[in-house]
Formats: sequence, structure tokens, C-alpha cells
Amino acid sequence: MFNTACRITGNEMDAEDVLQDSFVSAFKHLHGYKGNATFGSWLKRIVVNNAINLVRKRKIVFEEMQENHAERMIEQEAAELLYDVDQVRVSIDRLPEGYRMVLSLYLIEGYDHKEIAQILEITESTSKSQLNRAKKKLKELVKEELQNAG
Amino acid sequence: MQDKDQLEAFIKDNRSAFDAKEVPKGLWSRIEGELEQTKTEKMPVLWYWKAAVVVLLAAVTFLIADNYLPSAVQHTTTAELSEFEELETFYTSIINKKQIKLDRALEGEEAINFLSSDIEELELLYNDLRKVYLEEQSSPEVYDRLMHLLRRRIHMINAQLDIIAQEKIPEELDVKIN
Repeated sequence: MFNTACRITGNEMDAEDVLQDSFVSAFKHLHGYKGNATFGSWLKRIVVNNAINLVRKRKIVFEEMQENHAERMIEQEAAELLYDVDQVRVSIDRLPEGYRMVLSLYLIEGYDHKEIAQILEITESTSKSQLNRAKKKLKELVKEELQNAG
Repeated sequence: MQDKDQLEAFIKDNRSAFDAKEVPKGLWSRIEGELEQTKTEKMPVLWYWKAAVVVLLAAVTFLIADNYLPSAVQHTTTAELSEFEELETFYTSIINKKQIKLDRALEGEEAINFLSSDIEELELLYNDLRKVYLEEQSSPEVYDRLMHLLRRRIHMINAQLDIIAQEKIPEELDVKIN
């Protein structure tokens, strides 16, 4: 839960606040748990929603990718890279907020585009396009990390 | 050519490895503290609710007991019991004497059967009520009713003796005249 909140908010301080508010809120609204999902899923959804609400106050900016030749090159080169979890994780943290949220929700938290669209109050097509752009950006950042690592 | 979504597959395959950050120390105790505070804030409402239920139950119980159940057992004091026994002995002795007198006066008369059955019925009623008075309901109302039943038996016997006495007067007068 804490890691989920971290990935969405982008920093540990906000994630702590989100986790605290979520647990207290879940305790106060236990009667709202209908048993349609597992308790863990229900609690996780509260954490995700609270994290997104916090980020929303900062105004999420869904990035417009400006594709260029260099990025296309990165995409081609990335296919031959051997990925490292720490480097990928650091790269995810460096993603713009909108990209980071959609990519985290889809690839790590396991939500589908329909659920992401509902959570972020966007369309499914926006979710899909943001994910594609986020993955491209991530490959670019991972490439940078690998280069920096020497 | 390698899969274009190799990175996506890598992340999906290593999801758990991305949960590397540990929960900061003190976060759980802060959450616990806030939950305790929430419970404490809820307490007064719960207390009032429980108190209301207790008061309601007490009121309902009292009303049921007051309206539908027999009154609580009232035990007689020694003085009251002594007074009852004295009066009972007094009235019973009168009844016994008058009953003997009546039996002698109406010896062989069939009509007395009706009177004796009424007196026996009164006696049964008296004994039942006496048991209630001594064991369950020692109230002044029951006491008065018991005394009334004793006096009623005396009154019935007296009435019958009066009837017999009046029936005998002409014969005595006839004897005197003759």
C-alpha cells in the first residue's frame, strides 16, 4: 500500500499522509465494504483514490509526447537492453505525473484501462494513449540511467 | 528482433520487486493513535445510545410488572400475623359454636344440605385465599377479604338459626297457650 501510494504521489511524505488518511477513513467506513471485492482490494482502492485526489490538487498534466528521431532511436536501442529493477524504478519515479500514474496503475497495480479511466476520470482511449507514451518515455529514461551507470 | 514491449513484460514479471520501499517507522503507531482517537470520539454517542436502551428496557419492564404481573410479595410483620391469627381464631370459634348449634337444631332436616354446601364452598374459598395471604400476597385487601369471608359464614349460620328460631316460636306459643 505504501509503495502504491509512493508511485502515485511521487514522494514518501505524501504517501505517508495518504496511507494514514486511508486507514482511518477505511476504519470509519467499514460498513461501506460490501464484500464485492476482497478486503485488500477495497482498501487498496481507497489508498489509490486518496493518492490520486492528493495529486489532483496539484493538477495532473497528461503529457503530449513530442516524438523525434532521438526517441525513435531510444526505442530501437532499448529492445536490446537488459533491464534492472532499481534503474527502472528510479526511471518510473522520474516520469511526468500523468505518465507515472497511468503506467503504475496498469503495469504494477494491475488495473485495466476501464478501471484506470474510472479512477482518473478520463476516457479509456486517453488511458491507452497515455500508457503508450509513458512506456516510450520510460525507455528513454531507463536508457539515460544505464548510460549514467556507465 | 526482440519484443517491442520487453520493458512492459519485465515490469509485469517483477511487480513485487518494485515494492521495495518500507513503511516509515512511526506511521503505524500514528495510524493506531488516530484510530484510538476516533473510537474515543465515538464513545459518548455509543454511551448515550446504550443508556437510552437501558432506560427504555427498564421502563418497559416496570410497566409490564406494574400492569400485568401480580404485585410484589408483601410479607406480613409478626404483629400483623398475630392480629390475623387472633381474629381468625375468634371468628372460627364463633363459627364452630354456631355450626354445632345449627347442626343440633336441624338434625335430620334435608334442607340443611343446601346451607352446608354453601358454607363448605365459603370455607374452601377462605382456605385458598388464606394460603395466598400467608405465602404470596399479604396485602391489606386480602386480609380484609378473609375477614369478610369469616363474617359471611357467621352471618349465613346466624341467618339460618334465626329462621329456625322463628319457625319454633309459634310452637312454643302454642304450647304456652295450650
